[in-house]
Amino acid sequence: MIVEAEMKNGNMGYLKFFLVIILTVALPVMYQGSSCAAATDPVVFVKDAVDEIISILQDEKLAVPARRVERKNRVVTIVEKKFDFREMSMRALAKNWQGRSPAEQDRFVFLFKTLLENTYIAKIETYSGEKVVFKKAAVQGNKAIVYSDLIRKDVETPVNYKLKNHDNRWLVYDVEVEGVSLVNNYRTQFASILGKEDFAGLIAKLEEKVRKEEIK
Amino acid sequence: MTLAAGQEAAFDDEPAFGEERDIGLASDPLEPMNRVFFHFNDKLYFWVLKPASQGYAYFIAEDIRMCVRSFWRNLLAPVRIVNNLLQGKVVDSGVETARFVINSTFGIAGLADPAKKEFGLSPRDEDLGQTMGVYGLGEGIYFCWPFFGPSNVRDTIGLAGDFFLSPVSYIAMSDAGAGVSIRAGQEVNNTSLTLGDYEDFKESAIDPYVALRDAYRQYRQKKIHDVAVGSDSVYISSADKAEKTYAQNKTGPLPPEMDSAPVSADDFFVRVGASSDSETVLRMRQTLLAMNKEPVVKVYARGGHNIYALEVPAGKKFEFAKQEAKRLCAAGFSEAKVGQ
Repeated sequence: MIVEAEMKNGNMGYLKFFLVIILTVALPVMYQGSSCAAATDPVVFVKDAVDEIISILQDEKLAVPARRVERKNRVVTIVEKKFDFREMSMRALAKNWQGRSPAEQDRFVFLFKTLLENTYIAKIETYSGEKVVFKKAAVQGNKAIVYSDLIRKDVETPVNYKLKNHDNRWLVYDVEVEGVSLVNNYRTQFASILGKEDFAGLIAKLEEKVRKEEIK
Repeated sequence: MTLAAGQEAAFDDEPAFGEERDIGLASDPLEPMNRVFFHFNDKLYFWVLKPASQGYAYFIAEDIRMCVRSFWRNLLAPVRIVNNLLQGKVVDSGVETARFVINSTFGIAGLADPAKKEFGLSPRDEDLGQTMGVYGLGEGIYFCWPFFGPSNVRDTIGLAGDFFLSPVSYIAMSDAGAGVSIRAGQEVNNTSLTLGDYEDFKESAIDPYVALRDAYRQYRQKKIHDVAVGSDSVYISSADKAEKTYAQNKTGPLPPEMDSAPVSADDFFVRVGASSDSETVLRMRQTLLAMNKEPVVKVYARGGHNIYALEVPAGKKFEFAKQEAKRLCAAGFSEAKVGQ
């Protein structure tokens, strides 16, 4: 059985997906309404956001326990402007998004957003000098992919941001870490739950999850 | 055991730009058993591996632990060299060989990685599971092995094959106890460098079992198709498959006389121009869009500033790409050149 164990190291990259998400969800596109044409380079915006968030994380004055909430809120504010949580929710629910009432959809978007914020942004507390290197971007039509590497303890993890242009404003709709798409990962989980339960059951599960995180 | 080779058929179609490849549903008939083993591994982590790693990390400096990880990784070079060759990636195989030679000598038996730091040679990670995937073998059913975690039929067979390329295997074959100790040591060492990852993963998931299964499947598919972008941070290289997959998967409306087959990773494109000024490139892009071409903008970091390159996919045949380049030259893009 050492056989498998032997090789496993190479295959463990997918776990990094989850840890790196901390920074990725926290490192979205900076597009501060300077409403020039679609001319804005997605790499620049992602990079600006990353730089800004890292500077918040490195600010020792904000690192004291008394100001933790403030620090988290500052990061959340950036993230909320840069991520399209509605688009993410639609993609994560896929065919199950259709046929839901607007109220149900809104509830879902809120819960999914809160879940991502709670579980990932809270992890910012564990930031320890990770670096982000931006490599390149591909743009086609109204979509862009920004390629970056997160460097942590000498290990590079590829992090790709997928962006969509809405009215000359880029918004992130998915993050792919080490090849694992965040949205697709949740889509599989939601589909599995909806295979056994109805939509109300899924909402209940999300609510419970969000509540648990808040208590912590 | 159904080796679902048919599943792979879907992969002939490249996903649309910015979309994920459909990897289908997991085939998991053993889910009840797999869940038991998932639970077992979970407890193993929290009750054994984590405390052991924390204790180890307390006594051993991080630098040393990173060297240890690097040492064992270097020893697995034969696996990567052989599998690159088996997949026909001769250059990548050479890169792995060079890395092995450099790191085993200048890197003091693999404790450091000068091949990457000094020579810019980043690893080309391949294993037998990927090799079989490249040749169209489906993943088969999903397994969650006790101790070893997520896998599937194909990757389990692959691991058994790669076993013979790993030096540690030969220790294990003559002395099983020593083999197990080495493995356990490696695991503790590596875990000490990634403490918290598993906790984060579990907290983020609504159903951790399904989340892990999906993450493993996505990760392996991307590795087989070489989609996850590696660490090449340099300017354009035609060997950069990942980027091609994303950037050129849509041909856009090409003239009917041109090859209408879906564009694969080895196609030609016409480099219309490159500039360090994004505005210039985007103006060119607008012009091309008006001409019904679907250009791809690529941004490359080079010595602290960005270079923007604009490309138009140009089909499978060199002749057609040349004609396209001529047409674009005539249309005012005097720098249009065929690329591959």
